[in-house]
Amino acid sequence: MNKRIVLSLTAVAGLVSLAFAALAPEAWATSTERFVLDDADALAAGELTRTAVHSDGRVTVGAELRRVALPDDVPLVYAAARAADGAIYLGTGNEGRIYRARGDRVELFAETGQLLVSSLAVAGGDLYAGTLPEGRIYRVGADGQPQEVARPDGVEHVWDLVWDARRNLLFAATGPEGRVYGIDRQGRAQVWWDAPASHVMSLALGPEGELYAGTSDDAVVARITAPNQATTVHDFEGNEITALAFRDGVLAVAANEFPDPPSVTSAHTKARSSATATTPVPRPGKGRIWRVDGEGRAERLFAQDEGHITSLAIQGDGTIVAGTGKDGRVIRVNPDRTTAVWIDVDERQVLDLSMEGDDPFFVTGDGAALYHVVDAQPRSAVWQSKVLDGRFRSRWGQLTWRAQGQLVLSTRSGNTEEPDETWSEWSTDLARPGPVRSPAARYLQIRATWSQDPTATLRSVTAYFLPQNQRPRLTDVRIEGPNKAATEALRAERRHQIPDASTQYKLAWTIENPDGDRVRYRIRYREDSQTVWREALRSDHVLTDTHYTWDTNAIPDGLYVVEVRASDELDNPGSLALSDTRQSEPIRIDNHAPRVEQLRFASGRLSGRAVDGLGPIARLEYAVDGGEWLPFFPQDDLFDSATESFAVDLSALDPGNHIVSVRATDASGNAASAEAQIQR
Amino acid sequence: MGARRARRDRRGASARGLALGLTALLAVEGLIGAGAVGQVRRTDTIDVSEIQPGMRGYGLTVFRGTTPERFDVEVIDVLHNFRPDQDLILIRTPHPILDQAHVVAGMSGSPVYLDGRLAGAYAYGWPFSSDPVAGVTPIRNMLVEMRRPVRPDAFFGAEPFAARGRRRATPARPRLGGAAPYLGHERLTATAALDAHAARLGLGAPSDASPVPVATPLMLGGFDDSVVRALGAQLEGYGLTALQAGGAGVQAPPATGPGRYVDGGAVGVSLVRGDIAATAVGTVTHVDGQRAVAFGHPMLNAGEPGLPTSLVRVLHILSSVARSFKISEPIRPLGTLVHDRQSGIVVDSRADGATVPARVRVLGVTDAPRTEWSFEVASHRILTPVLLNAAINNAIKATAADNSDVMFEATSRVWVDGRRAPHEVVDVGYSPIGPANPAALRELRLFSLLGAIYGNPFEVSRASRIEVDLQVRFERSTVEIVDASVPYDEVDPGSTVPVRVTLRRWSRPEEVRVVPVRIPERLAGETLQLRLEGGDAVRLEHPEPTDLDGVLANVHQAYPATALLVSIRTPARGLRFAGHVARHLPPSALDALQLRNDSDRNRPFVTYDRHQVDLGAVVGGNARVDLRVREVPRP
Repeated sequence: MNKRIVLSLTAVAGLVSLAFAALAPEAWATSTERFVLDDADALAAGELTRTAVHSDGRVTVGAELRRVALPDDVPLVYAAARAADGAIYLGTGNEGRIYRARGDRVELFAETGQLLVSSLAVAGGDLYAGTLPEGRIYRVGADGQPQEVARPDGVEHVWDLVWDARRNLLFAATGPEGRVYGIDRQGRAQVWWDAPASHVMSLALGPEGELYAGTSDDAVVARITAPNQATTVHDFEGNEITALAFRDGVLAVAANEFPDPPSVTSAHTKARSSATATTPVPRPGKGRIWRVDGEGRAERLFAQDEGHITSLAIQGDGTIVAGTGKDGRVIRVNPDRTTAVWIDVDERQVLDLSMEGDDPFFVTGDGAALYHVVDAQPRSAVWQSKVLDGRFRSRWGQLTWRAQGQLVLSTRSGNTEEPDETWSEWSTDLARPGPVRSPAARYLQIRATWSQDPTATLRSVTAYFLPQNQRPRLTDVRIEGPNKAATEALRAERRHQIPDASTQYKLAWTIENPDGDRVRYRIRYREDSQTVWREALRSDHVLTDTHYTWDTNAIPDGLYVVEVRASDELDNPGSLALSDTRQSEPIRIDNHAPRVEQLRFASGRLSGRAVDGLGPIARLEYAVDGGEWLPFFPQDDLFDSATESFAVDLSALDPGNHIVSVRATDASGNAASAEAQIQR
Repeated sequence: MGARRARRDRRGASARGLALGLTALLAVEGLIGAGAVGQVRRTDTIDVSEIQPGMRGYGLTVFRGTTPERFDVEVIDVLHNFRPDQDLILIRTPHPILDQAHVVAGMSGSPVYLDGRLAGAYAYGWPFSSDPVAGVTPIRNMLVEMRRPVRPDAFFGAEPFAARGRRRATPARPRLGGAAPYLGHERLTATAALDAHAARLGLGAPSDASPVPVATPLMLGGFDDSVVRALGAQLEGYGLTALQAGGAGVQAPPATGPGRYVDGGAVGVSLVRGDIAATAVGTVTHVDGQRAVAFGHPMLNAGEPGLPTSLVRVLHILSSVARSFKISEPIRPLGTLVHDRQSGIVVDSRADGATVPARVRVLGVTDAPRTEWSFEVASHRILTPVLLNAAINNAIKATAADNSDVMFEATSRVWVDGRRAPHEVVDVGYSPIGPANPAALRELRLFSLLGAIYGNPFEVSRASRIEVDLQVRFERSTVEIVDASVPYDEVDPGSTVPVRVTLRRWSRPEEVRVVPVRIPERLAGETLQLRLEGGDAVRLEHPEPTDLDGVLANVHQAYPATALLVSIRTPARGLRFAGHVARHLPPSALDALQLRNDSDRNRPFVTYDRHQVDLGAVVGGNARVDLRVREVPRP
């Protein structure tokens, strides 16, 4: 989604003013902005109900679904398998149950007593179920009674099961020792592959009896032809091969990259509480779908950074169908390598799917359900954008779209990030582009409905809006840069440091500008004891920087207050522009040097006084006959006033004629000197 | 044995006396008590508003024997709102005994009469007061508690109140009184529930300037002095003063004497009886039908504790500058403590309080004068572990008070009411100061079993029998982990690493034990942390229990203290579920098993690969080794 600034001020402002005349008292910026949804990512970011978003940016009618719910106490269906009679077996958590679905009827079939039935395989009339956390593998007869057939040593998880009818073997992908077992009908388990990984997550059987296996916590796919005879097919990016599918010489691979494990506090020792772990929310990974051809060539077909791939299937035409672990979606990768978000359901994860036969289905987790993909054209379909954020309360302008065929659009708006009861109802449908009919608000959502023309295609949607103008806020005005003389002067005195004299003062300020409007600054000043403000800038000087070098050469010495005014008038008409002002602390301007006067020499002492307009005198020095400057103190020993009398003892000078120079420096660093010729 | 016979006799008498069965009882009296008050005469009481300074009256208490005697009372004034909705009547008690004794522990509850009417209960005093001045809890507040109904299922095990048929369906949470339920995830000490209760009540040191409840003497019989002191320290915050007295908790009923509670008579709350005895003693303020209200202040403020109560005989009032108290002993079990509230305790004579028969044996001490103690301990979430701990310490102290190295093996068996087989746990430990080491014994898993039974959130349950066999060996069989090392800092995945552990056994030179530890291939490329420690120090990840059996199973799961555990911290995470723990989960499964809108129950934890080596001695100390695992094995 792009949000673009549009400067067609007059036309759109006119539309807006017509549509929202009743809201006139509010201040609205004239920088019209727009939401543009015109690519696959932007269009797929919302909710899809029987619609599909294709990689070329089209939105079309998608698949019709029939949802079959599981009991409320079942949180997930992790695995599914279809029997020859059409029954679908569902492996669930967190009570380790197997349900059987026939049509829309779901019934409890078997209870393993384990946490999760993580894998299922149908072999003839038998159903095999792999479980965790004890790594037990069951054979479940028609009566639903599970019989444990294998529990290989060290196995805690059985992630996948594949029945090899030719070898009469059940292959089991297991963890956490990362092994593939071949299990015969007597339950004898033989290690076929001991992978250098924690888990073998997925299996796929090739036509020649070769077994493909994918691993976690690396992402390697191996080809196994006999016990302990495995070769690496490919080492993929990421850290988990979650699913494999093989058909017609093509191996489809779901290679995912998960973030580091959630950080937790160990409860290892008894001194710690059992509830000390910090809770991470579920952390989906990045998902990639790869295709490996018969020559071992690996080609990436699809990638998404939010949401890993959980399951794969290859259809007869070569289309790869994949379930995702975020937002409950099914992705299609077509033979021509175009992709589409094909299905979007409310449950968070699509955990297993089967696209075989005339009853394709998938199952979900974080909300357990079985979905049948119905071979029929949906009677209606809806595409709904994600919530669009105008950042500020906004007036809505035109809603336009580009489409073929007949569809209608509507909108709703509100001021919460998630739509709730405070949002407006969906507006009446717009059959053609026109003004948004939802009230002014910060957030907007757009939907398109296919009700009459299932062949219609939506290509892009644009909504214009006018955000409410936001006031720029000055948070401070300060002196910075090489000459901080003014306000720093007194502090410098206390440190016995005298700044360099300069008439250039660098003013700077900080602004908070919520809506990013261009801001113009004006600067004026007044002497601290006066009320009259004087402009520091010429009237035609448009200052947009947040600093300004102020030349005070022509300004009398004194304490001055500087005021900065910030106005967003450059992006808003005068009547709607908003401004803010802020004043500095008093700044001392002292551009004149002190005078050294009344020099007199008598009785071996050179006396006189140093006088400054603003003061105080900060340093006195003298030099004899052009020699080194030597400091001396005033008569009262304190540099605390604009006039300091002094008397320098020169009795130690050699007899003769001398030229003595006296130099006075004020607190702002201005210095002046005077000379006297004396006779010793 | 005398105690058992007396109890059988008492039960027979009780059964005959209680002609009404449980059903009839409840039918007649509704929720126990509400109807009882309605059937008896109204008590002639004086309201606080009628009480004036200078009024004179009298009190009743037992100074010796079982018959209450009068003592004079003079009202000083009334302190309003001393407790929430409760005033306090300040009185002076001029009496030859009380002039010396001032405030006497055990007098709590003594009825005070003004203008011939019942004003309240002698209940509060000032620590170190030099005058016989006391505070009286107004009778109005006490009668409210007396008439308060109770839930029949609050006294599981008490007869005839026990509601066994309903207990499975009874949520335990209300019975826990706000206490955190125990799920078996951590080990409980004997005083864990008591400490938690004290924390909830906000108990702290009393101020000398504030009135505090007159101490309730906890008369202990058959206990060693050190155990008396320890028990006293544990219960002091509740106003219970542990005093060495005597008696087995149940004496043969005297030929003459009360067979029921009377106003001003002595009443005891029997916490232990048998070979050892512990009875908290106070005074009955008022009897109304089968109910008596006493103490004038709470005992533990424990709500509806269901503790057994008894008639008590006073032997003497001991005057002391530090503490005056009634020396007394129980003479006949009678009734149950049905309310332990702010303004007093309420005893119902129609039920026997629930007790648990217990036996403690100390084995392995030759020529010990006595090795077995049998007693009945009150069945109560807070008190049973504390009292049992005292009994175990006492048995050991009496049998083997040696102050030397000792190894002990405690076999604890607890029968859960309604279940046939006992739960048995074995704890092995070492004490450098002899077997009577309270710090070592208070952590026996026996107390976790009791915590599971009484504190589980799934069902109301109780222990029906407890046995503890403590096998002691006067030796020091310990081993200390001094150091651990691996001969290289980088190892191959899949290899077996010899972890060299330097061990120091008592009275032997240091030895090096090589523990082979396999490095799983899945840990290739990781930097590992190997932790070496005794099995007792390792904490397991338990599943979330779904019933009492699950809680008990969690208590059973532990490594023995004699095992050396080498734990490899892995990068994988695990999750706990009801009845299950899933370890070493890959990221996708970890994600799938955590629900988006789940509460914080299902938090991931770090998983460990653990190797256990039995060293045959209690393992102490620990060590840590960091190790890098190569990405691929060296060719």
